[in-house]
Amino acid sequence: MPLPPPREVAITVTGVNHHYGRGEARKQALFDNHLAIHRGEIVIMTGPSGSGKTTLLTLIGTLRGVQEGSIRIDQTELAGLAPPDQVRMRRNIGFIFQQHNLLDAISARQNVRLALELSAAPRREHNQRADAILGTLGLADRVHYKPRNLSGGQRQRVAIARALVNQPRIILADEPTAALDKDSGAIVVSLLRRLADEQGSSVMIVTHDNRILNVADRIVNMVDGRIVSDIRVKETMVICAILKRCEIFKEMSPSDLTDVAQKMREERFANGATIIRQGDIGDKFYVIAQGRVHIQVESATGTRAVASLAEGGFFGEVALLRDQPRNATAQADGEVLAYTLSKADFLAAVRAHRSFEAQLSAQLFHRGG
Amino acid sequence: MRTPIAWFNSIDQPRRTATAVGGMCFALLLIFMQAGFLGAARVNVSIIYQALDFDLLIHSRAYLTLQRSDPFDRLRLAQAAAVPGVARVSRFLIDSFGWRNPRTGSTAGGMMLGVASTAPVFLDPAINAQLATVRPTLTALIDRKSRPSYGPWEVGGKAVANGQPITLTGSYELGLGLISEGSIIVSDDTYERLQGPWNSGYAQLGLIKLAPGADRERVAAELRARLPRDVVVVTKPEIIQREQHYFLSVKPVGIMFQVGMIVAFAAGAAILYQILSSEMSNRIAEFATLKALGYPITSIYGIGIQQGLIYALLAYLPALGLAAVLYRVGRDLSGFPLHLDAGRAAFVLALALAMCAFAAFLSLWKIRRADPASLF
Amino acid sequence: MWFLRQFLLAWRMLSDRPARLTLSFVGVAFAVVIMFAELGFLNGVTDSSINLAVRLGSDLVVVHPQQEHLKSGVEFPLFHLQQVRDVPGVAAARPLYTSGNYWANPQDGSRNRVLVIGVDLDDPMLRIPELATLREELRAPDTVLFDRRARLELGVVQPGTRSRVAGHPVRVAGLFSLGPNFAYEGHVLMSSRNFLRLPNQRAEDVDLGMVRLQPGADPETVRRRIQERVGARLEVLTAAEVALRERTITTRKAPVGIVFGLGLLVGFAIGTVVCYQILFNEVNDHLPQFAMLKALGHPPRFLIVLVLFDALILSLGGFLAGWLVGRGLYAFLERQTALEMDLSTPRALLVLALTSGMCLLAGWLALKRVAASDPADLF
Repeated sequence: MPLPPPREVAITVTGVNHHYGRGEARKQALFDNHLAIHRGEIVIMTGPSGSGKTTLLTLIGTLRGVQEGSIRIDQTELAGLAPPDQVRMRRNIGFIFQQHNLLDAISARQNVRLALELSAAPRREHNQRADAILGTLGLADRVHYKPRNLSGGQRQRVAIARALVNQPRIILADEPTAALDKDSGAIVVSLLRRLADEQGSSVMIVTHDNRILNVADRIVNMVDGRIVSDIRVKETMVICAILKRCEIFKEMSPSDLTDVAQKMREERFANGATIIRQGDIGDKFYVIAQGRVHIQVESATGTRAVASLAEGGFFGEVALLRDQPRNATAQADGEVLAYTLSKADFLAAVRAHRSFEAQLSAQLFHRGG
Repeated sequence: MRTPIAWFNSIDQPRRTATAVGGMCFALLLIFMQAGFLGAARVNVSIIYQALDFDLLIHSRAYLTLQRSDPFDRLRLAQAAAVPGVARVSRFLIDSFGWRNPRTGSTAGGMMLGVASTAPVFLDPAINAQLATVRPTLTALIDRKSRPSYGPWEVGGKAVANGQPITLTGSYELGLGLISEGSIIVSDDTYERLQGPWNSGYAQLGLIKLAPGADRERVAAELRARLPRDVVVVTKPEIIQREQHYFLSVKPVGIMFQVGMIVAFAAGAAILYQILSSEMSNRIAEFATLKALGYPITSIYGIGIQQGLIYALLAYLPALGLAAVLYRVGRDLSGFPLHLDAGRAAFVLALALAMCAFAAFLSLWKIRRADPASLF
Repeated sequence: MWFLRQFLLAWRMLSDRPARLTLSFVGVAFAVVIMFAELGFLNGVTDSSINLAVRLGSDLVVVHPQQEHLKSGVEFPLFHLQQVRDVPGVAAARPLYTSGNYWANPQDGSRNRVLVIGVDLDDPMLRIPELATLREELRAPDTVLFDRRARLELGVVQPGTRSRVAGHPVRVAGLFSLGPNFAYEGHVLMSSRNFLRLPNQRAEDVDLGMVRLQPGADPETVRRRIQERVGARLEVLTAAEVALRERTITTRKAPVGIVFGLGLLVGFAIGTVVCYQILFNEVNDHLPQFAMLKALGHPPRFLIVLVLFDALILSLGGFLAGWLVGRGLYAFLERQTALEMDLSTPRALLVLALTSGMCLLAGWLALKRVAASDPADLF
């Protein structure tokens, strides 16, 4: 499975608190939330109702003002944004509502045009572009229908066409599939996926629909106004695949493997970069996802290359297990993409999984140092 | 082309729009009717002055309206004639009289206008030309627009005015409408015979024609300075305005029509507000959606205002058509000079737009309240 | 009980949204105000036109057959009245003189038209009590009774005020109430002796002959006898017929009657449209509740009665608000025009009936419309 290219962060949420009401009735809805969403990433937000997902979505969508903390969309800080700028900001965001919120009195094409008319697109292209996106969504023969003459699924697709027609950099969707049957839901979801992959749009979906979880890059779970977990589904799958090819993880059950993978962080190194230096305090465990790494030991007699690790190789465990300084230096040979596990997580995983420990011991023995 | 949302919203549910617009249409029609009668009556009350050719007018200080004018000493006319800039001063007599048709015996009221048979005081040259025919006493010209209650008459025939027989020597067209059932024009001699000889020392009005190049205001000021305080000097526009003002503000009909118009206006505005605000409430989620799409609040207000305008115009057009029909019916039924002129059409249109402005203004706060955050 | 419960249910459904209910009341109230206004105009015109006629206190009135109304000035010779006096069954026949004339405003000297009435002080046969209480004062030369409800243009007049009628100096001995009409701004009463001292008035020219019958005499019989006696030279009317004649001539001659009548109709139409809209929305919004009521086993009749109760509540609320505004409007118009604007109970009830009628009509139309469009086969 190919790795995604390095991604920029599209949305940064930092320390966001939010309150509703005033005085006695004042109630906190969000507590110190942090979140970063990258370009091309589909994030599914789950959690019980009232957990603050919708509040967070409306804050990111500039439909509400940020009270405390910071939300940045690309380079724009939303906190303290003047209302006219808020309105302008919304034009970069595609909203998909559960209730469709189409204008009843006008046709599907005109509903889509509503979004186009706010964009810089030349006027004569409006109809053509509206029809094109409706066609993509399988509504080519429904462009002149009014919403009340469309089925629920068709209406939702019109709403999606309206949200997507300007190719917004951010798409915020609220239960986009709740009103749809399985097939329509699948069409909608694959469309969102394509948009994320092809245009690098960031998509946030609030949903309870388990059927679409597999489209997500990440699943963020909120409870009582706090983000309690942030699972990078796709990345985890990629890491698991890599880990599986690793000797030491071979015996691990899939769920244990997933646990480990979820705790790993992506790190990239340029050609020739020093990844760990002999004598430093060890703090991470590395698994190579791409590229090669040279391991060399420096001694009084000079530098000695001890190994060249390829994809699936790992290093850095000795210092962690023995609580010693690094006993070798690792250097990137060409571009390297590695996944790292912090010392604490590494030791926890070792203790939890006997087979892992056994594997490690075997490896250590085999490597002899 | 931007999508005209307001228009599509208005025609989305044609039957609902039709009933809504129907209520307003009736209100506008009511305004049309009252404005029509008011306007016709307004023109009507000054119709005699409009038919007369004069620049300045002398009337008694006790003058109320043309039909209630008070005689003043004839001497004032001679005094006025001596003022520089005055080319001609004509004595004008007017009072009501009783008409009787000897052929049918039917009676009716009317206005008798008395002028010197040599004084061309009418704007209509046809009347001036016929004045010579009433030089013999007990002859008269008759208004062809007199009501049917005058019975059949013919030029050269006989009639009875204030109990005395007169000969009709000609006819003219005036039409007094609300003022009176009909009118006749007689010479001042005949007038004194029919209305009482005491009139000979008096005039009801003095019609002043200025010399070419004379300044009206200057001459009026001079006349006011020279003439005793028992008479008043006014210009033609002033007297016409005064007659209309008296009718509009003092006479019950004028007041009633105006109150009726105000009530109809208020009702129209209330109906429009009701339609608009229920429309706004029904579409509150749509307005919130437009806000979420990034439409500025001003262009969303614009939709509400446009929709009000569309309703107002949709109501106005049928009201205009109906008014034209009803004016015609009213004209045929009562002979009242009801006309749908551009001024009146524009006046009612302006009222319709004012209703729209009022109603739109009040219902915009609903748009303001539309909260895009509530859409999720 | 059954109706009361349903009425309460209708009320609860309507009052669920107080703002909307208020707006609905206002909408109906405007229609009510229009109807009140137009009806008031119409009545103001006709009531005032008969203000003299309804005060005629004689059993029969004789007039010149060509007299179309009381202000026409067509008179008949006095000796005909003497003939009437001799008819069996007639107790008294007295002349009543009238003349449209000018009253000089005692403050600024401006003149306005008044109807001057000369009566026989010994037996005036007019229902004006001041004629009896001030009889002795009115016997003095050139004394008059002045109409305290006359228009303000006639000036401030009190007992003792001196002014001129038809240029003739008079002194006001007292005030009575009659009010202006479309022809005259007020009335002036005096003894016939004083009346005949005014310029151009002759005792021989009588405007109205006031006839009182002997007790027990049949008016129809006496009328026939008078008619036989004087032939076609006089017309014999009852006081009620005189009033009817005045009213007819006013509404026929002046197109205002048509306009105001039309206004009344338009008010009704506006009200119907407004009510229809309100009720249709109301029913449409409550369709789920209606469906539930039906599911509970209520017959369609129950729902229909419910909607008609809605209509009734709307009409009552709208009428009450409209009635209050109408009262204010009448008071304003009374002050402005000095015409009597009578908001009597029968007239208020007429408007209430019209209001209920339009609301029920609207309710019926709304039901029909909902029934036509309702997919759930609710009705």
